[in-house]
Amino acid sequence: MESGERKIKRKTALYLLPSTLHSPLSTLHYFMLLARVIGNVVSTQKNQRYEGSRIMLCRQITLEGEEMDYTCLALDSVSAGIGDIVLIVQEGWSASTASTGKAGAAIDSAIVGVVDYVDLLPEEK
Amino acid sequence: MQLARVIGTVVSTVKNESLEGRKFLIVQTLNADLSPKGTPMIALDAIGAGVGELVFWCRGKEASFPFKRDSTPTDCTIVGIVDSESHVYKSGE
Repeated sequence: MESGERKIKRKTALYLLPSTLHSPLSTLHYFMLLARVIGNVVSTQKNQRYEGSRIMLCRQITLEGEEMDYTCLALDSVSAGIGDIVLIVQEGWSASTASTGKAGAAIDSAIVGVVDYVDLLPEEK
Repeated sequence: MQLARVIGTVVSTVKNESLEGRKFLIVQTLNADLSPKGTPMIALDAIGAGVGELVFWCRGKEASFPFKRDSTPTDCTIVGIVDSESHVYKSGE
């Protein structure tokens, strides 16, 4: 009985670990994100493939537009401005192709679109 | 990619051959207001960063692309140094 409980606990801990720590292995943010551009970062010394595009500071938002905790840097491929709501892709191949035109760059997230509006069904009451 | 502060180094003698000559750094991921977020982690250096610098890292398979020819085993690599703290521009500042 005791060992059974222990096993369950350990499993839960393993399952919760990546998402709570925001580790790079976390699969929690491994999808397209809806985010708001809140700023940008200037870097002179960087990987060659980053040259020519801006690095934007983005904060994830909910479908309703409320800001969430998760912030990330993303390369800009569509000339988004600060305050814009954007779509971010967080997968290597897509991100490097979108922002540099060629795969195989050390880029794991890129802005691929500026969102005009989000159309949501009204909540049922 | 996320902002981080380099807070230390890790020294390893016995390691994978393709990691020889590479530098392991301990990075603390930061929020947009540069406050720490989560626990520190170890990242491979691709750019020549040092302790105390503000950097950004790349995760996953793409992390090994800066060292492409050696197929280096890494899942977190420092790919750029932010010029200074005042070069993190935020709306409303």
